[in-house]
Amino acid sequence: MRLFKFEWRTQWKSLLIWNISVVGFLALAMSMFPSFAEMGADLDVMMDGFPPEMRKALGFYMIDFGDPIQYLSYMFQYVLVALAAYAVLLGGSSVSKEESEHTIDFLYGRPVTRLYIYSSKIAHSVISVIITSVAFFVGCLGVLMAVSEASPVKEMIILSVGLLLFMLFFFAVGVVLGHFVIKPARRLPIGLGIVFVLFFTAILSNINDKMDALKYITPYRWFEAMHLVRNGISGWALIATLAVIVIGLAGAGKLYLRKDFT
Amino acid sequence: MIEINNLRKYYGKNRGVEDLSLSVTAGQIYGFVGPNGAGKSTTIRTILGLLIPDSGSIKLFDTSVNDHNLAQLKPRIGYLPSENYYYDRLTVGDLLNYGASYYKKDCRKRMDNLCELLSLDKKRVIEDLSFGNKKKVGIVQALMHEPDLLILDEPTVGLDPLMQNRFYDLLREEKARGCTIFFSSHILSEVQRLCDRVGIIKEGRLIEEKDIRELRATTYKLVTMTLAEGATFEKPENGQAIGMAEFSQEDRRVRFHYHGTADKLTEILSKQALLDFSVEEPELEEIFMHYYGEGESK
Repeated sequence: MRLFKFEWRTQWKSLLIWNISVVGFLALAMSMFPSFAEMGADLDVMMDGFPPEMRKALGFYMIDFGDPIQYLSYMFQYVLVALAAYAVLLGGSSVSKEESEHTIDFLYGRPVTRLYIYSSKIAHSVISVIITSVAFFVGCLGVLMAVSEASPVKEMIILSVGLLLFMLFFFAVGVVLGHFVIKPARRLPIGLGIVFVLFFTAILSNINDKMDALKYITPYRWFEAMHLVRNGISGWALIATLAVIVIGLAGAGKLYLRKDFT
Repeated sequence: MIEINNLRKYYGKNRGVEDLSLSVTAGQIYGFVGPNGAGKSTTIRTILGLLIPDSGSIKLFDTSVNDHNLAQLKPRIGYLPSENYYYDRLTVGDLLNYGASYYKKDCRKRMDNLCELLSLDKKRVIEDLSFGNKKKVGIVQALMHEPDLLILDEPTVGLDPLMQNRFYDLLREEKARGCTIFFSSHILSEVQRLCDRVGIIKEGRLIEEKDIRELRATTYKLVTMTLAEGATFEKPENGQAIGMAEFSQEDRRVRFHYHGTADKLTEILSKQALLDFSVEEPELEEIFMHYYGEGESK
């Protein structure tokens, strides 16, 4: 518990900044909703002027910008990219930071086991991710209620749970990455590379029917906002996400117990 | 207290230590000497579980070491790494209190005494500390819980001479308290000054392990002669065979290492016209250079 508390003490500011940034972005984006809603049919005509592929690529295909939840869904894809980056970086640093900053000699010099270190770090990070999902839920619902008359609690719960699973997917990927790439300067481009490659894979699978099968390998498609709001989380997405999380975290944990702290 | 048998650790294809065995008995100060890259830090980090050995066994306090029981033994171990890195944004006091919170004892009094002795300001922020002050933090965190075993990796590097002397006094006090001390060092004079026993490591293998007095007495003698006016040194033809080595002569002053019987040495000396002579035990540094010099000449 000491290490868990210590992690909070040293990292709460970073978590706060991320959460303020995400909620701030959504508040800013949603503050424009009334203007979009007022444009109504004019906006639809303007959107129809764009080629369908472009609208699919940019995520505004078949979206009614006059509906607050659909408008939020459009913004949600950018939140996903930002929080995927956050989660993969958090995962990467959570267990490798002590090594990259050479403080592991101090920490492992205390009466602790490797399992204690690993589980404390993972527990702290997972709770950080949960807090971010809750902040998203509270922040979004508050902003939606402020800019429209809507109070879509059920939809927001589904989106927030989807966001949580989505972030945990990237967090697990980050933890595995952190095991193999200790130095942050080397890990950052690889981590962000994974985030953006999977994002562009989702776009490709959206705009090209021949590449539709790619939707099975990218979590951006599994957690598309409109899909979540209309159909909930699909069985495939749930199983695949949980598999990556469990296998990733258990595998990285097993490796952590036998790794050299250099 | 420490027992290592046939320890092997490689980093990929690079040798860390190879077939290393040594033992440290309770109450001893054991000096572990060798140049950079010889395997000193690898040995220490493997003892402490930071590195996983490829093969071999390590026992601490007569208990075979693994991750779980090492955690149970660590309250009895103090460790000072060669390079000291801590959480930069904490103050010294916060860091030490955090470290102390892992022990089931009140370390505050000892911590304060050590900080005072080493002139360490607990209010300073870690990232503002010099290399030497970070080393002092390392010393306090290693000693504050009054361990039974101290493992120190290059402990005095970065300390000024005054602090070095205070640190030596501290180690003597710890020894008097019953603490066993295992430390690696480049500074052979401090090893000679403090240690009961010395292990010399070369290219990952322990090439010598002896009590320091025995090491100095049995390796070789340093013979220095001053020849009489006009005399020349009559070097025995079979000098190397009878244990003479590393001759040097400057004017009438002749020096060589001797590793043979006293009778033969007396015989050699009796054949010379001498003004003066001395037979001394070598300094540890000379022994060290002797071992390493042998390797380089091969």
